[in-house]
Amino acid sequence: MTIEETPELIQAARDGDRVVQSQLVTMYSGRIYNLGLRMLRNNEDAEDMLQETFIKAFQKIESFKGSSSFYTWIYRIGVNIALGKLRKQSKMQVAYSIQEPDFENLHGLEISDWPDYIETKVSDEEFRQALKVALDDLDEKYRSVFVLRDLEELSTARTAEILKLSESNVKVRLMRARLFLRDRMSTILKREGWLV
Amino acid sequence: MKPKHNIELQRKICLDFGADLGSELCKEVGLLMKECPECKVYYDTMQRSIKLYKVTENECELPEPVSERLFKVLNLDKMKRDL
Repeated sequence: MTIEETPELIQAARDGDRVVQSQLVTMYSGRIYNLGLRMLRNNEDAEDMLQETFIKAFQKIESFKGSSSFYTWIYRIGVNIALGKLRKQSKMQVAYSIQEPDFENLHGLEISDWPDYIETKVSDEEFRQALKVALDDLDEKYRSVFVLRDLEELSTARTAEILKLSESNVKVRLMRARLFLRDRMSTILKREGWLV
Repeated sequence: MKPKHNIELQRKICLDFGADLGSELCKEVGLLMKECPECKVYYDTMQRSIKLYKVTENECELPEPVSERLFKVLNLDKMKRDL
């Protein structure tokens, strides 16, 4: 039988029930780890984020009022920890940072249709790696929006709330992220001769 | 260009903009897709790139050593996944 998140379960966790806390970790650690991987782009940082998220959650569990699900609450803690790490990294890397892509000119690129077989290329390790690098290269402020909206499939409103942005700002950043990735993908496909 | 996907494409664009399917915006999108093949390619390739990322960035299992270390840090006894 799979455990379900119930008010009683959360109250027990709040009361310090170690067995229940362990159950919550079992239930949600995988999803939080995957969120960390998507946002932070490497295993070590994702693991740090995972540990910090649960440590903070159990430290602050008294403040969890149950107006949302426990998962929603802990997810938000996780996103905030990941964002904090990304900001710290960007401060450290400022001397080496590359110029932000010229998003305006991405609109002007000639757009070619992609052949149907492109989807089969995801089994090609080189292609997968190229896609990963493109996402790694995307500036954090755009990547976070792309990850939350398109990969984690959060709504625009929820993404805006978590990232403390306006909804219109989320839309603009998402469009820029998508444009950047689509153009990088077109470049990869052309380079490999899969696109005329 | 494959016009057969126009209706589905129009539906997706409407949802992307948060618009109702019968709204004026949606009707305009439908017209645009008919009259502007480049717009269709533009949107279609964008959607396909998102789809490719969903495949390549799919969720992975939490590695066992990562899970072990997490429980250790939290000073919790590990439970079986199915209880």
